[in-house]
Amino acid sequence: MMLEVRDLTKTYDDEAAVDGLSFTAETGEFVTLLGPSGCGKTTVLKAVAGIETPDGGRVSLRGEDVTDARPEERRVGMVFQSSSLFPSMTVRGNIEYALKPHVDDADRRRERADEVLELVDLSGKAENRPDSLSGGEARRAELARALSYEPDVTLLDEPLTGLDRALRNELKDEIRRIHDETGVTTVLVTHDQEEAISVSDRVVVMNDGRKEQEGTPREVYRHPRTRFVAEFVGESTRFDGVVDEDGDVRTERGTKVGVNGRGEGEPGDDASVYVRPENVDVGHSGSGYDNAFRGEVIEVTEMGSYAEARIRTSAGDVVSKVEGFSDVREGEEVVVGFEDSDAVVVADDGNT
Amino acid sequence: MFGGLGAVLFGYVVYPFVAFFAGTRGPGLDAGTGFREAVVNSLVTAPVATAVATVFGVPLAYFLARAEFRGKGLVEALVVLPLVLPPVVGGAMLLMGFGRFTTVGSIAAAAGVPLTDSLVGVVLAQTFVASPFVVVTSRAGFASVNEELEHASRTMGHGPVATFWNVSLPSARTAVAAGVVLTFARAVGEFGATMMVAYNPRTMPTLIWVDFIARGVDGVVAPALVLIGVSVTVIVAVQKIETIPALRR
Repeated sequence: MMLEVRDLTKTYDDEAAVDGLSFTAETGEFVTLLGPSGCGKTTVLKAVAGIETPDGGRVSLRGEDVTDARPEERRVGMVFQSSSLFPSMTVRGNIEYALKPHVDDADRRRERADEVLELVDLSGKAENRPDSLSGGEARRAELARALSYEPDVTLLDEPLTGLDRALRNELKDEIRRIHDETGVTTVLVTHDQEEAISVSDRVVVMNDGRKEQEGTPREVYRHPRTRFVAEFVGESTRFDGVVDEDGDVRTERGTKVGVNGRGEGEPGDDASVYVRPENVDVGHSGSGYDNAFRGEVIEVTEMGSYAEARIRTSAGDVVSKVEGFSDVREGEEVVVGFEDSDAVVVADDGNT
Repeated sequence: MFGGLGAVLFGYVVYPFVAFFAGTRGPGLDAGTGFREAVVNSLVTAPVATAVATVFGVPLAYFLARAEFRGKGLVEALVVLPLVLPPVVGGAMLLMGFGRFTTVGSIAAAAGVPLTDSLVGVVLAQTFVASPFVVVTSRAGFASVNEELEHASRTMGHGPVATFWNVSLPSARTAVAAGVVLTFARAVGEFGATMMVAYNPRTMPTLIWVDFIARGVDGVVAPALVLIGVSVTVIVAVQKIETIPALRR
């Protein structure tokens, strides 16, 4: 076990930023803390780095308790939310400074700086001052600096925030590639669920300082276990209702949403069914689906390669992902269908 | 508009200089007795007082910019108190604390280091009155340094002292330098507290006072010219150093 955070608690002015959070990262694993801004994820990262002192709980690195250790003793590398390149040093100077406590030989520091600059594809900018770098270059330089001294864990605090979409995708892939090349244990903090899902081995979804769910991107996306996760991770259509005798869910308007009897809890308990737009088909017969609702297309939003159609049905509005610029038109009468196995049920006690 | 308003103040500050030098018969050769000694005393004490204020004041400024503790507001108020206190009152306080007949003063005097009517006394007075400038200015400088730069340095394996020298101080250097200049300027011109604590040996400001009493405005011209010369030289020199790229790290 490379990193273990146990029962971490941190309170600012009587408000709990982190409230009893636990998670682990195996050696070489890529773990993401995902949650909305203000959910305490950055505080967790800073507690791991030793920059914040937790009020309660323990942090262990390499199996040793480092809760009271100083940042310089922890052997972590961190990329901060705002640019933290030292403005008075060149890009290479920044990296050599980071290497100084770890490598005594100045020539070796220089070689190593060149190596990591090559790793992030920034060799041509070694002599640049930080203020002459673009946003993406600055992030890559910080990444190189944090990796240069081969820390045991790298901590990335919203490294893609503030970059444009194309750059974000490029850098996201690069972060994963560098992780795979170096094998360094990585903890990423982000509020962007797409980012979390596409780069991580494991995702810890946080809300209000607590862990909502932990799992592989697939588990978190396909099987959200709380309302918060179902709504925060990915898009869904939501049907509110109560559990009926068959274990399915009956909406307020009396429409039955079949979930193959998985509506746990007692009949009469409040429950919500979530279904992803990509699992909802739009057609004219609806035969062959466990759930089929007739309705009218009220809105089509073209996104290019796909479009999102909103269909008003007896069970409520349903969003379906359809092919881009297809013949699904607003005002058309259609039938939406989805399999009960694709539906996720969350009862109000938070269990599946 | 800004230039116009600024010109009013600028004119008001420059006018007395012009009136002063136009209205006197010039310094002549009859600089008062003890003139050379006073120049030397000022040039020795003011840099020492500035150094003392800087060595202890910059760490204090950094501490105040970073630490949170109960009673911080009170500490900050006390630090700037010498700024608002009339210097003569500061001098009176120093006499009560370090005077010949106080415990501290008598022990020091017995050890051969009298704290009043000595160059040490001059330094004490200058440091007391001038140190708030370096503390207040540096504190503002440190407060504007992105703390994440320091955090980054720490995670890399640098301790707090190395981080201060390599990251915090270079980032705040303009403010710290400004504070040092202001402190020196205040120290070299210090009169009120110095007069109370160490009327002798004379510094330039005390000599100017003595000459003024003895010979009127004409007696003031020569030492005033030297004082202005020294201050302008130091301020210009520091501005130059600030713009040399190699020293800007």
